[in-house]
Amino acid sequence: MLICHPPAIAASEITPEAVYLARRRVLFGAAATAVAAWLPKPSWAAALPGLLPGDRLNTWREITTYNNFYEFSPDKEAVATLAGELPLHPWTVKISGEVEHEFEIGVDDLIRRFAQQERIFRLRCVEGWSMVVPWLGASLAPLLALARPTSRARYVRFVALLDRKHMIGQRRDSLPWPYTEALTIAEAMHPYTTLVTGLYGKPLPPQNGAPVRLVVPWKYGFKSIKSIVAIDLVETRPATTWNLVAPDDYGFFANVDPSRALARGSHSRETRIGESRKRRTEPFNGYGDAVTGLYQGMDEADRL
Amino acid sequence: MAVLLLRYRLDHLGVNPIEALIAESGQWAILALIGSLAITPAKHALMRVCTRVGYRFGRRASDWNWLIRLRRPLGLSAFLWAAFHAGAYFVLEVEGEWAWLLEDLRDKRHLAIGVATFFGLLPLALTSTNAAKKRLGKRWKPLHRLVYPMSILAVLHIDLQAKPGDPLAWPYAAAVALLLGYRIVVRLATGRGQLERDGELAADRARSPCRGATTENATAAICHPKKPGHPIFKTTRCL
Ligand code: HEM
Repeated sequence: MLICHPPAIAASEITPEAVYLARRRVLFGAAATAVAAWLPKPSWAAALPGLLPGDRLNTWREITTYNNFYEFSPDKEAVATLAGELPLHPWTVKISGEVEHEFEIGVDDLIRRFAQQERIFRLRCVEGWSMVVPWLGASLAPLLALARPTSRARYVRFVALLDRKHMIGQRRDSLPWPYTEALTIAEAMHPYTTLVTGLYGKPLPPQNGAPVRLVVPWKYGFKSIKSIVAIDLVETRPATTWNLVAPDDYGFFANVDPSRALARGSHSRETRIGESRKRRTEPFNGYGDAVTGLYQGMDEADRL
Repeated sequence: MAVLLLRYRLDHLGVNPIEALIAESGQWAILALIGSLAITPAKHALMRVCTRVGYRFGRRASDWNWLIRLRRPLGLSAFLWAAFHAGAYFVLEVEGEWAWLLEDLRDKRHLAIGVATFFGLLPLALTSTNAAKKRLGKRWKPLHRLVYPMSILAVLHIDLQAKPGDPLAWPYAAAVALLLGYRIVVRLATGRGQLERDGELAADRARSPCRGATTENATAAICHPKKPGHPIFKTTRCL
């Protein structure tokens, strides 16, 4: 699999989507086994999920020209152009807080240490659209394990880059910068919770959150923070960006839930990018079997 | 609209064509609405400029009748774009399902406001013909003042549908605030409204013997607001 970094790949090296798709089928099985071996196996751990009936991978163009990334612009189609100049090298991620071993890791190191694998997940945005994306990445859990969280670590907080020079959307206070997200420690350790560094077997394009982003496929897209520079383990629930701005629409948990009408409207259906008819939205974005265990015994109202 | 539909058919509307279709038609609707609101202030401004620089043409209100004539098509196209916008929403977004539409209307405030705006504009479009104008007589004008609250509702609709932190609606809000604010200022200053006066003056001109004097003086006065005798300071019907 191609994992190199910009300045990167000659056009001739880029796997055509069709070839890629064929190859993927073989790789995916192997990758799933690999990750299963990697992880301590909690009772709810499952093999990596497959696609739902009718799911079709979205194209490179669809995934890379339609991006919510307020750091650059609220205009989803402008982001790809504006993000082009973001310097991605060098880039480190700092892991700190309630851990025995604080450390900083370069993205290249991260990629080398944690076998990057194909992970196909649906991405469901609160705006009511969704895509099926072949990410390249690895579970977050082993990275966190490396830091040895203390017993006080109950939440994991992620902080994205603050760079007013290149992220021109940050020159306005459209959101409180830097973008911050968080998960409970149990959510963060779930094998589906993925640190992503690539897309379609190539390095992640800046508009998709290069060089390293989070993907939490059973939650609305805004939880999947982009361009991460710090991961902080903390004891109390941290403030998170969208939740601060509009808590009624952007809950802390924000699990995909078609039965819950938020302030900006119901979430019973979605536009799958590339399709002209609407689809019904699945609870937990179709990943319920693997993740409902995380929320057992939790009050409905408590997990908005 | 045909061009927009064609771009939709040809898949030239980007990655989420349904969203793009609704967004673009909505933008044309609000732009046309703002355009129609801008006509009268634009006329006043142009008359003022023409008088300042000493042009013969353009000092009189009647020189700008061609501009005023743009108002009806602009207003109508605002309505037609809104209808297209609402139609695109109904066909593509809720796929023609009434139950779904009702659910959506209940859940989304901005949608209810949009629909209210649309039904506020509807009677204005229906009574935009000369025949309707004659039939309604004196009631036509008050009816068509509905456009002011409707433009505020439209801006509200747009701002509420935008995500927090998205300044999409601000330029529209600024334009509507400016254009309505202008009318309020004029109304406060004259006591009863320059805009109505204009209409009355035109009507007077048509029937009164002092017609020439009426327009000339009034225009000169409008163009020199500091001069006593300007309607802003003194309200007289026939100068
Ligand atoms: C029956 C009436 C209407 C309906 C059903 C309607 C529906 C919608 C919908 C669904 C959206 C997209 C927001 C979303 O995804 O929820 C929208 C946005 C918008 N609407 Fe309407 N609307 C109506 C009337 C109007 C009117 C009368 C105007 C203007 C005069 C207008 C202007 C706009 C604009 C400018 C946008 C923002 C587009 C963008 O994203 O740039 N709408 N409307």
